[in-house]
Amino acid sequence: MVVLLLFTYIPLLGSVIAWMDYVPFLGFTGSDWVGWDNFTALFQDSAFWSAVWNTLQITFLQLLLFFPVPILLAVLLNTVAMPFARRFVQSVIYLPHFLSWVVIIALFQQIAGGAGVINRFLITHGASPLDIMTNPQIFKLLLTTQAIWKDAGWGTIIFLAAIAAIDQGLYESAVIDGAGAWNRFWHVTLPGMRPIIVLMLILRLGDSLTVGFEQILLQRDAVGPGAAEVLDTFVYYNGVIDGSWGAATAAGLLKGVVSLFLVLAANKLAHRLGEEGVYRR
Amino acid sequence: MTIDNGSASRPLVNPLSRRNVLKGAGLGAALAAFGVPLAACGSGSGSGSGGGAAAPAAGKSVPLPTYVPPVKPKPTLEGNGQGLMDVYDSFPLNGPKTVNGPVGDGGEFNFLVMTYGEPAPPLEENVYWQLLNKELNVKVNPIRVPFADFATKFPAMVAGDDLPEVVSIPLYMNVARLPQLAEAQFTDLSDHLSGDAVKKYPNLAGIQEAGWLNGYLNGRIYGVPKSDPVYGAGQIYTKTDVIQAAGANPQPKNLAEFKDLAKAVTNPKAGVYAFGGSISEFLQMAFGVPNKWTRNADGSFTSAYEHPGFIPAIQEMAGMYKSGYFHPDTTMNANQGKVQRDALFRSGKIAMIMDGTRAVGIVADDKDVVFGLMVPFAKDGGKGIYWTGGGAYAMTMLKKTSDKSKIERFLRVLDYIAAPFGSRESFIMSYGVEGADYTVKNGVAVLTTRGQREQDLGLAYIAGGPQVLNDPQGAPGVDKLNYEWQQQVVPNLLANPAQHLYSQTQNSKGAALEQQMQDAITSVFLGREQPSTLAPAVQKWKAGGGDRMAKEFAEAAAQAG
Repeated sequence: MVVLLLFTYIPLLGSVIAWMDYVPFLGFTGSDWVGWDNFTALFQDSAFWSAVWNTLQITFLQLLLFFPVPILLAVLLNTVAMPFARRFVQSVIYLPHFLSWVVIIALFQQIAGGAGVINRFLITHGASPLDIMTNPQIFKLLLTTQAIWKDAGWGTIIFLAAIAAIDQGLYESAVIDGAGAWNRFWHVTLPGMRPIIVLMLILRLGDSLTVGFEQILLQRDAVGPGAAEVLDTFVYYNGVIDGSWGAATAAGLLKGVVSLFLVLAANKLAHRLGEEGVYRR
Repeated sequence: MTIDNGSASRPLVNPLSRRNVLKGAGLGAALAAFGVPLAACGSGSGSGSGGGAAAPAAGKSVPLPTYVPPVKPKPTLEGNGQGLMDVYDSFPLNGPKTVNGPVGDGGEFNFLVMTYGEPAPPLEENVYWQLLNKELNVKVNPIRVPFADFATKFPAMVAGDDLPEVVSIPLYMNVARLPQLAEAQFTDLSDHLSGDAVKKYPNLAGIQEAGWLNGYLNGRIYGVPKSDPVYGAGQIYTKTDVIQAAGANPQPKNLAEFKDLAKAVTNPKAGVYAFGGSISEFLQMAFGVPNKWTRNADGSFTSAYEHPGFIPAIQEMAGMYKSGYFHPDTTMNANQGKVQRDALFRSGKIAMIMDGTRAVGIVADDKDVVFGLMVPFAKDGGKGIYWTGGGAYAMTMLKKTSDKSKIERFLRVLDYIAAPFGSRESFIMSYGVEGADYTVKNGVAVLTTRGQREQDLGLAYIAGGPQVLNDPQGAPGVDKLNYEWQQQVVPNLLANPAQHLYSQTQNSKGAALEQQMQDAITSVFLGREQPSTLAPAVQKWKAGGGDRMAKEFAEAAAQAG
């Protein structure tokens, strides 16, 4: 409790710098109070709204495309009968999680970039190259693909645990009742996983606005801020590099508030659907 | 990491309002962020220092340190005061001693420094480090921040009050609010350095005014500079063998010839392209765009973005991109890549790169690379202008203390480090221990592989006077090549009149505004936007703060006289 207070709640008080022209080396007492200036400046900046819009689009895309992938993978993995093969596959799909974004983006670049394997092949065979890495139109899909490649395997861990927790007796009864593979999945596995899926969905929504600072920063110049500026990079370019901590905090705070509402809304929905959500009512 | 801040952990800011602190201050250094978006590093293009005398607020305004030219050995090729650098074939082996008496006090010398390469081996295995500890009589303890992390890590260290006792800041990294930072957290060195006081530290007295101006804040001296050559803009390195194989001329005399060259070397089927990153600066200079600002006859300031050559220069670059003269990874090289780009240059896949003057040594490290330097031209022929930089690479400061012995120790250590080329101390800094770090062949000291690895403590980046050209281990003839290029360029140097002036707007908003402009330039360059979008972008930049900067610079210039 003390630790929680010390490291979570007390630092929260630092949010007051959203209402200050905060200069770290002058401290709280030395910096000027500026009222709502930081917020009004933010709301009047079209770049900020463009960043919000991009963030929401990426959030939605990742939810739609990324979130189901680990669940499917976990179910598929669960069907692999040979323990050795299963462990091997698990190791292989966990691995990308431990690579840094720099490495992953370099890999994508080597394969799909303008001078990558695919385009070299096309150019040497007289075809015109494909614009994958630098195309603002498909940039958000590219981001999601990269995220899936990196973290889908890692995401299976919790779902695999959820599957393992399902009573094997249920499967046996189902088989005896004549259920096929599909019916076992639909009527036993999925319902068994449902509380965990809902919980993970809510947790995911909580930090879904954090769409990947490093990943985007590395690729921002390739497609331009119009397609790639998200809240986190906006904060970096407009707050951190200029030392405008006040404005940066204001933007961060807004992000936190929106995230809180997303979590609360998802939790409410979960309760409506008869699930536990993050807490029992 | 928490490092002892001494008495300065809670800065005692004198009861000045921030406005006063800022007025006409110096050290505005490095706030302009005029970086090149796709090849920023090394071109040393970002600065826009503040400086100049101004309203005395914190204390009495003091004169800059008196310059006492160092005694130098006779160069092979003689430089000049305009910035042409001396060339030496080799480092004199038995140079004169320039530091007398004890340097340190046996205590720790913790300093923050930005480094580029692999960290040096640990102290126990590193005889170079051991030798320097002995020479300086301190425990040299570099706190390295890798180049790639500096922009994110440094603000965090400032915010977290984690700065060590000595902090060296590369000016081109455009650290936010550096003047306030210096006033609040670092020691005013004026009493020890101003005027003739600096003569107590003869090697620091050998640093020229252009360097000191970067640490001159509010008429007081806050930092010791590491001087930089005057060449502030990007220059084009040409892969001569690739260009000649394509039957092209590596020294075009005007824009049309330049484009012919780019066209001739580009061969997508072979994977060879003319360029690997932005060449915006080079083209802007060809179009006569001034160095960030122009001071008009009536004393007002006009931004280079408003120069009639600016938009056409970017448009020209966009046209070349559209023609396919740029390597397809150009956009990605922005972040991942100077290393990648340089590798492509070495292997002949890119025929020309734009980089700063320091890159000469890096390119020349690889003796097999045949390269040349393109002399800037004006677009319709004739000599092109060339932008100068801020006079210093880095500024080294001491955490706020009133302890006189601490300040003197700091200055004595830096005095040693700043020893000029040819001196015994400079030799030790460059070569280390005989037998292990270097061997002598035909009277020329040659670094061993071990010596090259052990050196990277970062000491060389933190203080020093004028640099010379001396690369006996680089590609043959590289110094002469560079010298000849400098001879061509020196008569056409163009300074930034706002370089050492202070503007509050630039200080607090400059980096974000510059980012907006660079984003607009990149978008046009890569064909995402039409060149016609640049004019509104410049208007937005002006309205967002550019106009205020111009006004503040004009005021500061009027005040400075």
